[in-house]
Amino acid sequence: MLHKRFSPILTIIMIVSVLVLAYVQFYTVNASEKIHFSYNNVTNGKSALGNTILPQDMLDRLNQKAIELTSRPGWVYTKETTVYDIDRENNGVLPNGQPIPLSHTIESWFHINADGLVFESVSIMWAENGDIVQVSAFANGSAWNSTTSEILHQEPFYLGLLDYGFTRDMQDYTERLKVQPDLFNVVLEGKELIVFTLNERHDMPVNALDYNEPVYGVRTSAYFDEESGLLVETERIMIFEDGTERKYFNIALEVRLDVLPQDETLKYLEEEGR
Amino acid sequence: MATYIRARRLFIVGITILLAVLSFNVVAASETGGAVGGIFCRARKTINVGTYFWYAYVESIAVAPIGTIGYTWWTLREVCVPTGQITFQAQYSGSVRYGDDYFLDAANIYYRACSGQRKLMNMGTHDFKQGSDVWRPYLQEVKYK
Repeated sequence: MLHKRFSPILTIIMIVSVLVLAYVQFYTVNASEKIHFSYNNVTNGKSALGNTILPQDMLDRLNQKAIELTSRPGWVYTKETTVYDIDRENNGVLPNGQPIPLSHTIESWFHINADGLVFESVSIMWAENGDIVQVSAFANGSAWNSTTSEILHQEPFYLGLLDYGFTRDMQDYTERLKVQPDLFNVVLEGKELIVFTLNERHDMPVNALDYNEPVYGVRTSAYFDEESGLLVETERIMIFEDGTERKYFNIALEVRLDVLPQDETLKYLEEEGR
Repeated sequence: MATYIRARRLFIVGITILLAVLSFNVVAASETGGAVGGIFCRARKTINVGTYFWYAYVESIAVAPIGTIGYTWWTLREVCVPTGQITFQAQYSGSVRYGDDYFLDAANIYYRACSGQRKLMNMGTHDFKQGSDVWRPYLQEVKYK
């Protein structure tokens, strides 16, 4: 009896499942044809820079220079000035009740040993009004955050590329979508910058916590200093159904090797200073 | 009719999970089991890691309808590992269904800016009640991206 009742339901489930799978497969196969926006400056390895260098080769060249700088023994100082534009008042409220502001600056000092590994570090997030939002520190094999007061075990680590994951994103983009990023150069305040842009439409509109309306596409640009190879700015644009755009985040990054931590910063590396 | 509704719900959940698995690179889940009022229950938290955003969901499941099913609180957190800074946190409290056997809440979150590895956390306490019997397991799922 149960079998007789279930048979038509199971048949319908199987048919719908096959149709859904076929649709998903079709969509995946045709993804590279569906993701294009209206422009792509790089075709057949010919870029807007007017030469034949591939974007990946250009990025590899820049990364090589940057890594050489940031893996030297000593202190690496970074200052990230970040602005988010989302439909939330903040990026959430920390466990101590302090909101994570949409506009903030993070200063970090990474101490690199002779093996090129970070063995101690301090990061401080500042609100626009100069208040400290959170402090985190890593020393003697343990990591600590001021808002949770948890102390977690951590091994010395390789600082890697200070590019907000752009290298990984670009590799994923070219492999997955079979298209090259846009590539061009600009001169800003006397510095030659190499600009990469990844432009992608979501397979399906995304309803995220960050926006009140679905996001249809994402465009990420990264600006690298041609001389040092370091990323100096990156931005991610969200694209909505009607074509309007909002800058999800914009980050200006400063990397310096000559800014040493002051005593009040170093105190966070000592347990009694936390 | 009840069997049909249950079969339909099972189908919808199955298709949702199937689509999630096909759409994301990595799926990870934490799960635990228990009982209230003699009814077997499961608590599950899952993180799917996508290219631009992560998808977290919390599920409370019972083998038969119970008095109250859901969570007492649910927290999503993103930490930038190299700096140790918490870049995103969302916290929700007290979401339940009454006289039901399934509860689901889910969220997509675009990644916050971070150079290096991100630690994605889906955590909180589930809520199962049947009569005077209560089971509130804390469960946490962590994924790195």
